[in-house]
Amino acid sequence: MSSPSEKMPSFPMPRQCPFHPPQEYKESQEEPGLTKVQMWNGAPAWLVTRYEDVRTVLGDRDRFSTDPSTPGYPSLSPARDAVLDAEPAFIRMDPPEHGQHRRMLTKEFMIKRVTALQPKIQAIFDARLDEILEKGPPAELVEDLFLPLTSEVIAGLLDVPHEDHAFFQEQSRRKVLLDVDPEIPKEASKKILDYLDLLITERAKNPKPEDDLLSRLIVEQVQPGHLSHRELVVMADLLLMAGHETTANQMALGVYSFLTNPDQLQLLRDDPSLLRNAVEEMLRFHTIVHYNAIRVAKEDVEVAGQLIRKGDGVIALIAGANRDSAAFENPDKFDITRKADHHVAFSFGIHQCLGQPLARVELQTVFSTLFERLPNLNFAVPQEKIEAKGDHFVLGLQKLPVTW
Amino acid sequence: MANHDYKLIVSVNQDVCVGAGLCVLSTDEVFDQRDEDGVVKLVQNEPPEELYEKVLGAVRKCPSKAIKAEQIPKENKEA
Repeated sequence: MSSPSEKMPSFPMPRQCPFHPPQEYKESQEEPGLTKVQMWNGAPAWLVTRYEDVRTVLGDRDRFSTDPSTPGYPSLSPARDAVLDAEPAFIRMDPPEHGQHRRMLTKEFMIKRVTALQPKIQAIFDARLDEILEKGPPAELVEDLFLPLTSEVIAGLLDVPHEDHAFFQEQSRRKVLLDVDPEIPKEASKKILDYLDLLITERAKNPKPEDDLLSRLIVEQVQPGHLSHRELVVMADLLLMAGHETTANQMALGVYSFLTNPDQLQLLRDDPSLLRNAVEEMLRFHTIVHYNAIRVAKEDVEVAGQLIRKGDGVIALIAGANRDSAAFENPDKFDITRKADHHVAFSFGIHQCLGQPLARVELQTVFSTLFERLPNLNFAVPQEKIEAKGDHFVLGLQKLPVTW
Repeated sequence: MANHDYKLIVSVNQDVCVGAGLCVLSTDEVFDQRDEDGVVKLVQNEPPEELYEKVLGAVRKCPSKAIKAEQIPKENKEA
């Protein structure tokens, strides 16, 4: 029997404070079973908020689908649907297609390859920081430092021309808006795909596999017929988008956390060996891609004692899991001394972020250097004027004006 | 270092590995990635006891459950 819909809470739930998940996630963790919520279109979905339950759902590749065309897949908003309606990249594919596509890329992001990129990432960062220092305070770190850095890193891997960075940054920004006219993300999505279609068509005429990732995919996958041209375009879109927007937002929020927790910044200054921990902690604490882990049950399955029926939508809240006191002591405290590397900020299961080694190296580069070179770094406006990005698909700061 | 009353035998399932690299970050003395596709490969399958904690952490963190660490009771108390 269906329960009266007015008793079901709506999802997404607004945050009471932009830097913490909604209080309702915690309440849901404390109640037995799972919480049933209602999406904007009236469809119900199950909320999974506890760390172990989130791992159970996301780790179950056989019984939960990530394909948005599966009936019952929960819809976050009309704007989000407009993006999902486009051709799916492997992040929205189930096995076996998912594995076939993902494995074309795994070597590109393996630890030793990404570690070898660090000096290059450091050089890009240093150059950008030099420019900022030369101009003098104040500066806006999202536009002037973090987006240029992450864009140059991923565009360097794909060999996307520098003059086009502003274009894909702007379109990516539009693509993650949740609460807007669906035409906005839809158009942004199309513009990026059209752009990459052209770029890859040109690249295919004279690919240089030793130079860039797209050339390697053209030669190794498209030419032998393992991947279509269009599939490569969609794959490149995912890499470009995931490669710069997310990491830049994480950097801004990381700086925010340090500036609002000066004791933690002091700990890092006193003991630089805390760097890795600190990066894991900021990933856990902010969990910026907070709505990414959406699934639909492919068969009846029980989670936390709750029967989920085939076709039921399931929202695995990684932002809830990362604030579960069963997995992290005093979870709402930003504490760089804790061991946080079992977090699920990059999701869990076969769809866990492919680019995470690159994100880690970029974040480690920033936070090993920034406070050392700008020892007096602080907000250039009162702290309460620092505006978070609201309920976007990827959390972040609108702007991060600083002085030093 | 704590003395364990078991021995760890590590194995990996290369078919399900998704190349996230968390095992290599946990301990590159036990795990590596194949150059051709980034899939996990073992450096050694009977790691020394001082690496047990890191190996078990890698098992727990592996997103695709591609790593198994079997605990074999130590029969011979030679030491």
